[in-house]
Amino acid sequence: MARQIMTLVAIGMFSFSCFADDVCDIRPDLCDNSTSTVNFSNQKVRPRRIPSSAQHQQARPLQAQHVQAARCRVPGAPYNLDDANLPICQNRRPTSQSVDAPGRYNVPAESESSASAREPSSVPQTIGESVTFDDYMKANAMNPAMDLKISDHQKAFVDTSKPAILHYTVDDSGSSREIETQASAAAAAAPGLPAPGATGVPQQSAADAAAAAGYSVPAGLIPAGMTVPANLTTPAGMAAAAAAAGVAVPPR
Amino acid sequence: MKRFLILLLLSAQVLSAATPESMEADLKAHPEHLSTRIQLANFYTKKSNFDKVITLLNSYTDQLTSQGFLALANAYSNKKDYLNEVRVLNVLAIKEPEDFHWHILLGQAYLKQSGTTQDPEKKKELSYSAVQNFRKALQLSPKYKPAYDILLNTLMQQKAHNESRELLMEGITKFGERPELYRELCRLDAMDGFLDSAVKNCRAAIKLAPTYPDNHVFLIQALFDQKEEQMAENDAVAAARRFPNSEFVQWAAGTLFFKKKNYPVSARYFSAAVKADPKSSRAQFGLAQSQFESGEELASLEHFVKACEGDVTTIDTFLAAGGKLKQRDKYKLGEEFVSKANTCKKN
Repeated sequence: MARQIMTLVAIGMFSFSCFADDVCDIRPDLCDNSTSTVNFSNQKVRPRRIPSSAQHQQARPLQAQHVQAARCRVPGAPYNLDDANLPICQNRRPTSQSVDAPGRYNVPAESESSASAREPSSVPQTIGESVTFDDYMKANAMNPAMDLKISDHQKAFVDTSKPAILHYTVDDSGSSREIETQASAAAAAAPGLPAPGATGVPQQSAADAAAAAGYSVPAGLIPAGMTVPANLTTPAGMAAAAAAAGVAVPPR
Repeated sequence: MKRFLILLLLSAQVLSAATPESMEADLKAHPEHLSTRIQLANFYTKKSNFDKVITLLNSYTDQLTSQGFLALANAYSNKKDYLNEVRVLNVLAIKEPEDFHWHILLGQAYLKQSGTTQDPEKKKELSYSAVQNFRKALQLSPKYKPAYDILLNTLMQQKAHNESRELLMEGITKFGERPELYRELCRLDAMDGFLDSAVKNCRAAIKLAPTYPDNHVFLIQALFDQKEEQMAENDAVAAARRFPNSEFVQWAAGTLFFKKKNYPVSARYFSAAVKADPKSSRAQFGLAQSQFESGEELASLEHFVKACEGDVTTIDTFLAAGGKLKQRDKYKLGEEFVSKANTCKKN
C-alpha cells in the first residue's frame, strides 16, 4: 500500500514538473533560480520552486536530459570490458524517495546558516502563513493608540484675549494654590457675611450677586445655597466683601 | 488530464505534509532548524497561541529572518507587551536599517507603548522616538504616502504645529497640490495666527475642494482676525448659503455676527446651526446668548439649559444672565434662570 502511495506521489511530482515548466514559460520571473523573489516587504524569501538533487544541483531533476540509462559506465572508472559499450553515467534517475521524500535536503537560495540549510524540504509552506507587513499594519490600526484623529478639528474663533479665571496665589506655607480652591473655603467661612437664611437684610444668592456685579464666577466657586445681602451687587461692594473674606477676586 | 495531475499532486503534498507534532519532534531533535521553527511559529500565530510563538522565537533573535522577527514582534503586540515589541523591532531595524517597513512598525510600536504609559515625560520621549522612526521611514522611502500620513497625523496630534506646517509644505512639493494638505495648512495657519498665509492657503484649499465647508470657516476667521471684517462677512454669508446643513459653517457665521453685536442675525445663523445639529452645545449656547441679547430672554432659557447639558462651562454665562434679569426687574425669570443653572450644575 505504502509503495503504491509513493508511486502515486512520484507520478504527481513528475506531472507537476511538466505543468510548472509551462508556468515558467509564461512567468519566467517565478522560476528564475538566480534571483530571489521579493514579497510584500522586500523581504527576500527562498524560492519554493527550486528542486535540487542531493548533489546540490540547482537543476530540474525530472527533465529528460538528466535521466540516465538503466545501466551506465561511471566516468573515470578503470576500463572494463563488460561496460565498455555502455553510455557514461549522468545523473541518477530520480526516484520517488529522492524527489520529495522526508530526509532529502535542499539547498536554499537565501544564505542561511548551514544548520538551517539542511532542514527537511517537506516542511509544509502552508501550515501557518507568515505574518505580513500589511497584516501587522491592519492590526496596529485597530489599536486605540493609533487613533490619530484630531479631536478639535472643527474648533474656530478661539478667544484667547479673555483673562484667565483661575489665578495662582501663594499662601502662608509658601506653596501656590489655585484661587478657586482658596476662594471656596474662604467664602464658606467668610466673616461678616450673613449666614444662609439669616433674616433682617434682604438676601440673594452669592452667585446672583456676583453675576449681577458682572463677574464671571467659575462653577463651584460659591457653595450652593450661600446667600449675601441684596445690596451687595456693585463691583465695589463685592470687592469690599471679598477683601473682608480674604479672597482675591479675578479682574472683570 | 492536467486537472487529474494537479489533484494527484495535491494529494501527494497532503501525504508528505508534516504536522505541528512532527515539526515539534524535529525541533526537539534539531533545535537549529530555523525554518521549521519559523513555520511552527506561524502555525501558532494562526492559532493565536502567542506565548508559544514567543517561546519558539525569542531566544533566536540572533538568527531570525525578518519573517521570524515579524512573527515574534506581532506576538508581543498581541500580548500588549509593547516594551518587548519595541525591543524586537529595534533589533530588526538595526539588522536591516535600509528597510523602511521596520521603521514604520517600530514607530507604531512606540506610539502603542506611549498610549499605555502614564508618566508624561516618558510619553513625550516615546512619542519623539515614534516621530524619529516615521521620519526615517520617509527618508528611506520618500514617496511612501502611508509613512507620510502617519508622521503628519502624529505631529498634528502632538500639536507640533510648526513641524506639521513644514511637513505639509514638503508634502505639497512631493505629492502635489492635494486638497487634504491645503486643508490642514489652512486650519493650522488660521488657528495659529499666520493670517496672510492662512488666507492664501484657505483660498487654495477652497479652490481644490469647493464642497468642503471647513475651509470657508477658517478663511472667515483669518479675514476677521486681519480686521477685514466686511470681506469676512461677505464670505460668511456666501458660505452659509452654500452649506445650509453644515453646523460648523452656520455656527461660524453666527459667531461672526455675534462678535459684531448683530444679535438678530447671529440668532438666525445659530438657529440654522441648531437645526443642522441639535446636539451641538456651542450652537445652542450661541442661540441662547443671541436671543438673550436681542431681548428674547424667555426663549433663550431653553437653549441655555440645552447648552449647559452639553457643556457645563457655559453655566457661568447662564448664571450671569439670571443675575442680569434680576437687575432688569425681571426677578422671577431671573430666579428661574439661576434655579435651572443650579440644576444643570448638579447633574
